[in-house]
Amino acid sequence: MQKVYSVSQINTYIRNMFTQDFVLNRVSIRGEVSNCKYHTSGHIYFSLKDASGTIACIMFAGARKGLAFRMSDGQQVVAEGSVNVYERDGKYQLYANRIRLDGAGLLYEKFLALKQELEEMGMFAPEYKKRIPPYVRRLGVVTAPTGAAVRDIINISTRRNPGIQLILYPAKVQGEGAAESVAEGLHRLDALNLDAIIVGRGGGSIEDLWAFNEETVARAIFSCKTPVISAVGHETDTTIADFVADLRAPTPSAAAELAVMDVQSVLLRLDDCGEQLERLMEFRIHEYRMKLEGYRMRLEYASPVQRIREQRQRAADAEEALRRETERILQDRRHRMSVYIERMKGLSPLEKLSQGYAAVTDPVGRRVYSVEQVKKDDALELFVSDGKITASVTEAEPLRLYDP
Amino acid sequence: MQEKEEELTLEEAFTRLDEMLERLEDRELPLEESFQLYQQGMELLKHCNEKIDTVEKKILIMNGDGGLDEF
Repeated sequence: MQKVYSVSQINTYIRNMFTQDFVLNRVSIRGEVSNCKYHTSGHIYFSLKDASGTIACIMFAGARKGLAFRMSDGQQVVAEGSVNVYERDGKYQLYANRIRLDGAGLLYEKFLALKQELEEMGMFAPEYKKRIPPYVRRLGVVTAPTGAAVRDIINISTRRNPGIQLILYPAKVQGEGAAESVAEGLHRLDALNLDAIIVGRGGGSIEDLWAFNEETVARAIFSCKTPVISAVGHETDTTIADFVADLRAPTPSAAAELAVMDVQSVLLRLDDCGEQLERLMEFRIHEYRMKLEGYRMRLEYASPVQRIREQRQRAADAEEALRRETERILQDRRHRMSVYIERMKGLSPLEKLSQGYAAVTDPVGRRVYSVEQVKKDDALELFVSDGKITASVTEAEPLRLYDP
Repeated sequence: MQEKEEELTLEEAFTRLDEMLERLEDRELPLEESFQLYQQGMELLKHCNEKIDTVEKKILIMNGDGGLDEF
């Protein structure tokens, strides 16, 4: 006799089978969304189908954080969850706790399509790009109020310039409604007439960054009167927002560096300029002083005082030369005189007189050198070294001094 | 002159300062003119220094009504 079960018993039995099944407890299913209904309770009812089958799905309100976009019919998604039995209806369904658009491929196609569309509209055109002012005093930041991105921006901005005024708009940067929240933040901050706005978030999956690939955000950035710097994810992530923004920063930290200039370096540069100005001016003045000194010297040189002084000097020089020449000539003559005197000395008769000889003359001064010139009683004058003797001849006879 | 300087951004001010320095380097420049340039340069520097705000600011956060609160 076969055992008879109640409906509930069978359903419970089946449910236990599902529950104990390792695969069904944690499964990912790819398919196209259909019959998608967002219930007022927050639950989402939908089906996933492919070419030959369909499976009922539900995402409870409590699991909604696993859905980053607005799901609608026709989307290709991957839903993750457990397959279990709904005993009341006797049917199995997927209890989804995470749903993402199917694969990067599909998202990338969406990204490319929107990029092309906006590009054709001219929203990336360089002529619309506003310059980020070099000295930003008031900086708006649209990002999540918590997390590394906002901390990095605050730290780097205030470190570079403690005088900067930061105004944060706490935005929802991922999940449903993120694009609208970011766009709202941009509009609000734009109205404050700030110097620049940073919009962005830290790194994440392509789904996490998706808000920055939405047209809403792109348009909000484009319509900002304030220059906008985008800073989405890491260096390798490029979003539509990056193309529309006036400046793209690879990371939130980099955005802060780009937006906020380093006050210390500016002050240093100012000092440097001041020093250069001083130095150049001093140099110029010095140069002019030198020039002036040159002129003064030339003028002095050309002045009559100088010429008179010069001529006086020349006269003095001439006088000195004359004096020296005269002296030289005198010296020379003196010398020659002494030579003559020496020579004369040798020839002088007086010299002989001093040796005992006498010079003999007659009274009229004729020299007497022969006995023939005198006779007895003739007067004679004898000159000796110290005077004259007058004598008379007593006898004169020739002498033969040498025998022939 | 003063009004014109007020409008100058810091970057423009630097460009002007560089120009002034270059002109001051020109040895043909008359002394009177170099004095003028020097004076203008010094005023510009003063102006730039005043423009740089070194007072520390409180970070503001926008609340739901669009008002601003301290962070």
